[in-house]
Amino acid sequence: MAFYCCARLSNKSVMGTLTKFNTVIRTAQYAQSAAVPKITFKQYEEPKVEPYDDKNARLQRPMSPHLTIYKPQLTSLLSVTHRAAGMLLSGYITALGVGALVLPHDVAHYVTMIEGLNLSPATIFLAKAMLAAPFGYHFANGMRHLYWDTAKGLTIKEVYSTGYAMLAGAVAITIFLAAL
Amino acid sequence: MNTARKDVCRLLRFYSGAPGAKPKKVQKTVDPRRTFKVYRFDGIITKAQPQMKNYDLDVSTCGKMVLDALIKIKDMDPTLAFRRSCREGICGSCAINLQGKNCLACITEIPPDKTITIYPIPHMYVIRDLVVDMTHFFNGYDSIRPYLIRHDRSKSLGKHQYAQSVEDNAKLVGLYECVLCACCSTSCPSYWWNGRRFLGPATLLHAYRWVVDSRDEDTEARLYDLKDDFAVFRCHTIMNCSLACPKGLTPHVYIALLKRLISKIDKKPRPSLETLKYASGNK
Repeated sequence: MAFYCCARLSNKSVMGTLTKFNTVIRTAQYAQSAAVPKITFKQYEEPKVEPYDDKNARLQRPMSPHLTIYKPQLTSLLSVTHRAAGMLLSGYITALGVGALVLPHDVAHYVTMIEGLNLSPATIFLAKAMLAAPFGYHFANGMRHLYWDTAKGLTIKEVYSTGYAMLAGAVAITIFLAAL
Repeated sequence: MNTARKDVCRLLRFYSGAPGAKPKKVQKTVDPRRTFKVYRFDGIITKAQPQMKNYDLDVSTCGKMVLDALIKIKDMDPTLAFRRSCREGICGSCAINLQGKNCLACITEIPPDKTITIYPIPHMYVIRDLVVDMTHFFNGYDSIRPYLIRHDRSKSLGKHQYAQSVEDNAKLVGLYECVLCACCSTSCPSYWWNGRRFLGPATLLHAYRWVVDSRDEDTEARLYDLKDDFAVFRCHTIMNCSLACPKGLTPHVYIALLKRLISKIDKKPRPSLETLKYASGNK
């Protein structure tokens, strides 16, 4: 009993060295392990969460169709046209800037060149209207966007009515600019 | 003459998708034998390409809603897979793209068209047929901490009733009804292109819901977490979200108000009723 108690109180390695008392020790070890289960700790590893895109790329899942199937609505159409007009206007400014650097003659020369083409007034008006259209649209829709930034005019009814009003305003600005 | 112009205007509004504008006189009687074109994808194991399958269905033999039609189609072709649960528009499982617009199949009537096209909600990875991977949508929702946070050092969370005035509770109307169906987020082109970092209208609606709740005290931290180029400000007020919402909510309005709160143009008002007024348990 005392020996058994010693086995419980001491640690196992001490027990292991007492090889003289093989059988007794083994039974004592067995008694110890039966009484006190050996506790081992594993290092905590965080569960590996695979990123969403990586997982889907690995599984090669298809993407559900979006642009090709979604119904074009006034909201999205006007918004994408606003972006396109903005890009065109940036293109104009870039062309103006780069042209001023690179082209050999000044603006008056090129204006005279266009006048020399002797186009009909209708064609000239149309060409000017096509050039002014992005500006008219972007300006009018820009006003609408600034109005929305004040968190006003955001009901769907208002969005649609201001949308149509904006289109009318854009046309008016375009015609005004083309007539200059 | 005036009525003709009004009819044209009403039809224009209807076909442009503005809600609340139904044509009164144009009740075309369509033959109940319709063709359903459904997006089918048999899963990655089959190595097949997604394709559209046609199903001929007499809609007078099934219920009025698109979900009833889908269940009837599943009777014909049991391999069709789609999510559904409550059949009353409260669980948000059955979001699909119907005739080009996102909706909940269980509360959307079968439209009076000869051909009805059903796709899964746009720009999501497809698991099977109409079932898509919603993981990042829900991860985004979890990231805004959608629970009440009080700076309570006395660790008495849950022990007291939090008081809220009727006016402050009314601010949550239009915010708490969201069922996280993802119809709005997956109708937003900005979410299509920036879905990993832009939170999307559904999550932003809920972010606003927790910011504006008078009982929540973590407003500063919530607004600070949203103050980057992508989380909120990828919203370009395209407004596809509110046209798509099957519950009639308007995420774009709340996103605009949230943007004003983040940029400190507006401030969250103090609660009109002291939140811990009844904390001691007495009336």
